[in-house]
This record gives sequence, structure tokens and C-alpha cells, in this order.
Amino acid sequence: MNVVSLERPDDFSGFRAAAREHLAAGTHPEDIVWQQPDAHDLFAQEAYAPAESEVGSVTKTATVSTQKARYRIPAVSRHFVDLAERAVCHRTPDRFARLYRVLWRFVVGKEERLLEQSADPDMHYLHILGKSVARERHKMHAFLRFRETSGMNVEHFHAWFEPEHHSLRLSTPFFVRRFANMHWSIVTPAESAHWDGNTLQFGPGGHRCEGPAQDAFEPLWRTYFASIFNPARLMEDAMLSEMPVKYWKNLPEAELIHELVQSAGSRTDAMLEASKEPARQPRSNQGRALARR
Amino acid sequence: MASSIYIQQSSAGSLSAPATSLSASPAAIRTPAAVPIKLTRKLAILADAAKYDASCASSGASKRDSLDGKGVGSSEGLGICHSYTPDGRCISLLKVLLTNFCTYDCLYCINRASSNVPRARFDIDELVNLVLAFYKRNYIEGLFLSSGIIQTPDYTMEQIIEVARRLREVHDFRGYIHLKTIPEASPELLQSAGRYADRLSINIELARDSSLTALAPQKEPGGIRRSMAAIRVKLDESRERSYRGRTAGNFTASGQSTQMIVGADAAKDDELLQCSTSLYSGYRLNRVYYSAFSPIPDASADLPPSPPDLNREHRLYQADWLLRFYGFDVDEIISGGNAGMLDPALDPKLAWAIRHRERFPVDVNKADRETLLRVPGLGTRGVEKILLSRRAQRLRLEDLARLCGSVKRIKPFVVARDWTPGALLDASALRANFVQRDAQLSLFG
Repeated sequence: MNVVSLERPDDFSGFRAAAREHLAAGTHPEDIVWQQPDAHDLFAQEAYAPAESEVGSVTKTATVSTQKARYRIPAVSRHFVDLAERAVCHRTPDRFARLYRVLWRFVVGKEERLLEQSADPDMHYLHILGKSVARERHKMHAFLRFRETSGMNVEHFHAWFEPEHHSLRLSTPFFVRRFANMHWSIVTPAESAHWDGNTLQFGPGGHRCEGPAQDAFEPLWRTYFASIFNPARLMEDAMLSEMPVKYWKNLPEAELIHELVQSAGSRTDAMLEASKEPARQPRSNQGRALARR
Repeated sequence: MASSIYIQQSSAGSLSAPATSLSASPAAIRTPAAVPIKLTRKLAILADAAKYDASCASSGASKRDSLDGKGVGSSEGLGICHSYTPDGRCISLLKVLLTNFCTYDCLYCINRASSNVPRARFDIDELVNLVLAFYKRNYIEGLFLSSGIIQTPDYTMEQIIEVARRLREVHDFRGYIHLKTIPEASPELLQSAGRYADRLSINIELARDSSLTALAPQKEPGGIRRSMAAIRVKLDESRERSYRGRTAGNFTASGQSTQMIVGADAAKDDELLQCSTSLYSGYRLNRVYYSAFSPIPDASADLPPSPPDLNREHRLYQADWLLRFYGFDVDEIISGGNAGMLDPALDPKLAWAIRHRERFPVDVNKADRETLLRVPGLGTRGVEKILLSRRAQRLRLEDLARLCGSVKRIKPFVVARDWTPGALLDASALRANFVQRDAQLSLFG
């Protein structure tokens, strides 16, 4: 039995290096255990507890496999690499095993067209993982909210986010490109990212209560959120499908939703009723008069 | 009403009352001293005034970031929806008017001169700073700025452009900017707006010219089309290559869009879709938005409000999609409905297919792209996946389910390796079955 110890839950390069060795050697998918340092990953730990004699480190297997390299590894498309990179960020414990199995079928099983067959069950599974990670990344780009940290010499911003997958590293380059000239920190329960205008560094995870409790612009943002909503078009389900409740606790505007929904009907009725009352007020034309000044 | 973060929408006394109604609101209590209450109130008025414009898109801008700049902002092609309001609409941009004072008196408009809504006007730097502050907190992708017409069209346009200019030139802002162009503003100003904006738009408002004349007396259909044409010429010029192979570039990368109000006049769906078709081809518009005529505060007695027909609006968007991406023309789409109107109970592609059963079933292992695109339930991405996957294997129904998510809708219309629809397609109950299912799924009740 071969055990590959990965450095992080989203360790794609570690996976890639080990997978290359094992594919060249033709190691069967069922003869590898992919181990990730993930405290929450109980399934992986319970599923297999290797005896000491069985444990071969990554280096050891690497030496062995280069000696008996039997298979040539063909190039895979950029498209597939992107998919694999996303899939390994998924929280499911069997992500590395499933990815390896696909590659094994491709390299050892000589299924040359496998990687473009979205209808194949293994490929379909990878696509599901990839899609759900891509969605989580997208939602992080959308729903992360920065708060300004007071008392710093330079403008510094802080955000707390709870990603569903191991997607922090996959998601941060976007913030670097967009907020390149700001200093900021993004803290998640498992890991944190810090940008000082020049370098991106990753550190340990943190807690929700560590950052600023509010931001001076949140009231204005809430005002905007309430004002841009049209009560005559209430469509709660459409909102919920795009912005599920699980994200609400970190969105400063979400506290308004309940009241906006509750009052929408009466506000709409009031607008419809008001227009039926004849001659309520003389037409002032004040807008026109002032606009001409 | 328990509290009013939004502006009170009672028509009576709205000019004198709001100051008190707002100061008692939770939003006001939370406002720190650094943010003057005046700004909160302006924002409430000028966002409220802008919300009847449907567009909030921020896609299609040129790819850029701030790594080599001094300010903030990036654009990666696809825009991001940073929040959703309970009407299910995306908030991507800070969508506001520079001012809601207006000399025009368009009956359908909340900002018309004869309305008694409260009025406000942003100072230019005040708005610029608000955009930057919201952007830095990751609330928005950028700004969508429109305005009531003040003094003259050119003066109004200059004010709008100045906001964009300061964002771009003073603050090196690289986020998204959508500017509404003012009808009859001079071509030089359009040119200047296009230099700073990712998108320009001017609303056609109504598909029927006679309706526009009746409901918006100061607007002239010809003027609106002239502005669209001028923008189109600038777009074409900026993409044209010189003899050295260079492009002039730098003019509204994601093009121009417009909006049509649905249900304020008697125009039928076929008229609206014909109008869209001519706009797409004649002025090379990227997008036509359909906006169900909505009740507004202090509506005009000459144009009484009614609940917005969201279902009709939804069907028009579906039909518009068929025009742009599925190779349908207006007559085909309309043939699925009755008397110039789309079938309100069915997706227009399904309605068309049920009327044209002789074209089905389609063999998913043999049919070409154009034919597959006409199968109800198959989207553009599903079709691409089918074309790719069937090179390696003959597809069965379960393969289709993996590629397209669900085969419920597709089943009656296709043949696969292990599937023929048989009597399913002939069943006289076909429409009834779908109508029932759609009713259960519908967001619109």
C-alpha cells in the first residue's frame, strides 16, 4: 500500500507530483491512500489507518517508481488541468482518489478520449466537484465584504469569510488583481490570506470576532440596498436561489431583507391605491421649475 | 410601516415629511458622525429614482486589473452580482441618478417634472467618493449613472461625463462604468462618454413611436435613434483597423444597450420583438432590456399604474434569447403563441416545438448544431457538450441526463441510443402536461 501525504487540503502540486510517479509506475488506484492534513476529514482518517510497515513516504514511492517507469504520461489539456485544480479544492474526502482514477484510466487504461467525455461517470463526478468549487469561488468574489480597520497608518481592510470548500487560495488572486493597491486580510476558519500591496502571504485561520465589528459605509450600503429594491416586483425565491441564507450572516445588508419582504405588499398596494384617489394634490411641476434654475 | 430605511412612498406631503421619517429610521441611528445624514438621504432618493432601469450588467468590459495602477478595480469579462434584492434582481453596480430633477414630463417615469417625489442632486465628488468607498469594500463592480435632464441635454451629459472622468483620471478607477446617454446630446459628448465608459445606453422606452410621442412628449423617437446611430458609428470606428493594423480602440468595450417598457401601451409581443430585432441589427446593440411597467410613487393620473406583468417580461426575455443565440426569427417565435402574443404558460421554445411536432423527434447522435438548438430543454452549453461527447460514444438517455442536468423536458423530442419517445410526442396532452409542470415550478405563481 502506498500512502501519499499531501501538505494541504488543496495541495494540487503535491498531488500532481505524486500522481506522475505513480502513473508512470502504473500503480493501481486502489493501492494508494491520499492523506490530507484536514482535521475535519474524519472519513479519510477512519477509512484507512495504515500499519507502520505499510507506510511509504512520497519520496520513497518516488524513488521506487522512477526505477520501474512503465508508462509514458501524455499531455493533458489546459482545460483539464483547470478542472483538476478546482476539483481538489472540494471538501469531499475522495477527491484525490477520484482524480487519480481518471488519470489512471487515461494513462494506464489507454482511454484516450476519456478526459473530454463529460458523460462518463468518473468525469461527470469531477465536473460536479469542479462546478461546486467554481461556484463557491464565485460566491466568495461576490459576497465577501471588507471592513476598514481603524488605527492603521495606511488604509487597511479586513474580511471574514466561511468558504464551504478549501477554496481560499484558489479565490485570492482575484482580490490581488482588483485591490492591488490596498492592504487587506481575508480570514477564514482554516486559513488566512494577507496582501500588503506587494506580496501575498497565507497564515493560520482565525475567528469571526477578530476583525472590525462594523464599517462606516455599511449604513449607506444598506440604504442603497433598501432603495434599489422595487416592492412591486417581490420575488423572494429568485433572490434565495442566488443568495442562499447561509451567506447572510456575513452580509451587512441581509438584516433588511425580512422587513423589505414583509412590507412589499402593503407598499405596492399603497402605490396602486394612491393613483385611484382623484385630485389629491395640485400638480406642482416643482421638479421642472427647480431643474431649470 | 415599522420603519423606513427607504423613502416613504406616500404621495401626500412627501416633500416636507421625509426629513423626520428618516431621522427616526434604524439606518439613521447607525450612521456614524463621519457620514453626514444628508448623503444617506440623497442616496435613498437617487437610488429609488434609478431602480426602474433594469440593467445592472457589468460583463464584457476589456480585461484589466490594478497591478500596474494607482487605484482600484479590475474587470475579467464576466461581471459579478454582489448582492440580490428581494425582487430577485442582482446588484452589480451602484445604480443612481446624478439628479432626479427633470425638465421632461414622461408619464411613465417616477422623475417626471409633474411628479411630487422628493428631489436631490449629488455633488460630483460626493458621488465619486461613494463609488470608491463601495468598491473598496467589495459591494459593487462599478457605477451605472443616469440623470434627469437639467438645463440642457448637453449640460446634463457634461455632468455625467465629469463623474466618469474623475473616477478614471483622478482616481485611476478601473472598475466598470455604464453611462446613460442623454437624447440629443452632441456627438462630441458621446465620444467623450465612450472614452470613459464600458457601456453606453439610451432607452428606446416604447416600441411604438406613437406611444412615445403620447407618453413622453419631450422625447422624440428620431432623436433616440440618432443617438444610437452615433454610438454605433463610434463603436465601428474604434474597431476598424487602420492601414497599419491598429485599432482606435478605447470606446465602450462592451457596447450599447437599451430598455423597452412592457405593458404601458397596447403594443403586443410581436411588435416588441420586431423592434428588438431591428435594434440588434440596425444599431448593433448588445442587449435590449424589457421592463414590466411598474407602479411608481405619485403615478400620473393619465397613465394609471397596474401590477407589473412579470410573467410577460420573463417570456420576452426568453424569446429575446432565442433570437440572439438559437437561430429563431420573430415570426417563428410568435407562431408558438396567439394573436401576436407569446404563450404566457410556456417557454417560447417549447411552445414553438409543440406547434411544430413534425420536426421531431431529433436524433441526438446525428442531428447538427442548429437542429439540436431547437430542442426544448437543450441549452447552448448542453448542445456543445453533446457534440463533443458523441464523438467518443453513442449517447444514451442517462448520458444526456449527465450532460444536460435533466431529461424531463427533452425526452419527448429526442431519439437516443436506447430511447425513442414513441407516443409521448404525439400525445394530445403534451401541452397540458408541460403547462401543469411549469405552473408548479413557476416563480410567478
